[in-house]
Amino acid sequence: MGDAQQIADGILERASIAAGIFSQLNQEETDRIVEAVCRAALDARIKLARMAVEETGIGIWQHKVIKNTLAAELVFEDIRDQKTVGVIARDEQRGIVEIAQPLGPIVAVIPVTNPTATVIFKALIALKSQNPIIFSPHRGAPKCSTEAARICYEAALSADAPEDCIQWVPESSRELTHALMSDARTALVLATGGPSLVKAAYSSGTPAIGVGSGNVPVFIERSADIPFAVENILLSKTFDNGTVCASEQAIVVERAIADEARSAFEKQGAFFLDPDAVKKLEAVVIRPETGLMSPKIVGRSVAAVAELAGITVPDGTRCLMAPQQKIGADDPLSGEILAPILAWYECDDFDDALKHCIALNYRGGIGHTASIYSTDEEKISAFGRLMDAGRVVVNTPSSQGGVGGVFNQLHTSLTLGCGSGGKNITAENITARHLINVKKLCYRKPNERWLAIADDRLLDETLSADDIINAYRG
Amino acid sequence: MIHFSFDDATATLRCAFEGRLDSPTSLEVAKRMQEKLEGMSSSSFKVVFDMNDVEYVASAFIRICLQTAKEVGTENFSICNTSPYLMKTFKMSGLDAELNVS
Repeated sequence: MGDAQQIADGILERASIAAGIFSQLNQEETDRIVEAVCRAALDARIKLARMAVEETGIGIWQHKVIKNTLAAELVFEDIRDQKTVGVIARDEQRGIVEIAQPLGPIVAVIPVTNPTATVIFKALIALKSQNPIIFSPHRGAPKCSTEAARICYEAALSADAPEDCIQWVPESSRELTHALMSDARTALVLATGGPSLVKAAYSSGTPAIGVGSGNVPVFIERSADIPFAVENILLSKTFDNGTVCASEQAIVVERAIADEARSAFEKQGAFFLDPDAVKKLEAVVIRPETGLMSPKIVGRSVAAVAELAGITVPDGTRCLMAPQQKIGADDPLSGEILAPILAWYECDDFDDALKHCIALNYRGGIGHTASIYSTDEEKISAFGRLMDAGRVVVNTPSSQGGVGGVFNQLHTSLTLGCGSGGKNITAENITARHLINVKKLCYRKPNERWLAIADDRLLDETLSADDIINAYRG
Repeated sequence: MIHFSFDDATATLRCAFEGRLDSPTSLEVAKRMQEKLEGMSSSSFKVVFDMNDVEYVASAFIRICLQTAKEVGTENFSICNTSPYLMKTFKMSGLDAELNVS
């Protein structure tokens, strides 16, 4: 037995015991634990944010404070009144009583872009659903993720949570993560990260909720309030240097309003690159050997990205705008780039813009998030029907809009389901209720209409479809 | 918290627990178990944990079960009279077979 397997065995043995102990607690006791963790995470929000940026070099610590706060308070508020223990719903009319059953030990893989907020979020939803959770941090952020987990664990213990309800791996290693994910005692893998990680989670043989990349098209439709749209887009795309997977990736405008939109972007601090600068930028955003985003640009500032690409931009530039013609694998800026960079597409008309958005949506972002700014209900509706996205946000910054709870009433979540298109089981924002099995206690409530048709009549070959329908539907 | 009795005929130490065996209580239980086991004159005997009057167990108590089973040998250790809720706790922990829970 290798070292990784031995470590995994110990962790999962303790987690399984914690699962058993957890099952003895009632809703009130469980909720007390969740509240204690929320409070501890709020107290540690600044320390953890600073640690994350110091360790990873990714993002902006002030924004990570906001993320930590959101992951604690908004998630807590969202799940606070949810019933997750014992009987959770009762429908007297249908004779069905729903009873929650925890899943069991959860292995949670944490991304480098959100190394502390995601820990807080996953700890809260796991504890709310009485599931022990084991964190496997990204190898680029082990210290801050572990510290976040430790803070959550100590708070949970102070509220009488079972020992080992939160654990973390002693060191980030692919072998250990694989051993944990593929062990029969693991009930679920909750994986947030890059495509290879998500694929590994799904290949582990354990049920998984794996959420990976997006590629968010933003359609500024001609009826939109353009300055408002631009203000919101830049607010969202520059948040934590663009590390949110629901952040805007490409701006699509009709040519009729292109100049006005472009001018609004420039006025609010965005800088449009010339074709030479775009080529230089394209050369550094992707790692040629993998075709994936370069870690050197993820969550970096405009100044750092510009320096890396060898391009000159005005001081104070908030976002780089890269005019594009095509969408596809040969056009790196048409895909997901988690940095303050936006692709820019000018289209002939509404239909042409929709086609561009569809192409962008299918360029690595199926099932994730799409965004539209418009006041035309018909066009908003058409956009919503055409996008394959779990979240289509309207007149809303997509980073905050996708995560939910700030600008809309979506469940606040840092793990955004992408549906079958993203190889996920759900397109919803993942929350505590996804971490329970709902058992149905089914009382006898016979379907009198069905019983009205004698079984032997169905064996009569002369009985037509109409006869059956008339007998059944009355 | 815990009552000991020894059946000479079957060479069995019966440990009857009661109440909530939470973490602080389990600390005391661990101490008393250790003293009892050290004070046993025979080296070959069985241990039965009787859970009839137990409302709750913490992880610390599970560790006592594991430790005791290790000391006397799993074939000489068992847990009996669990409530259905407690049985499920052991089942979910994956320890019901190892600790001979009934």
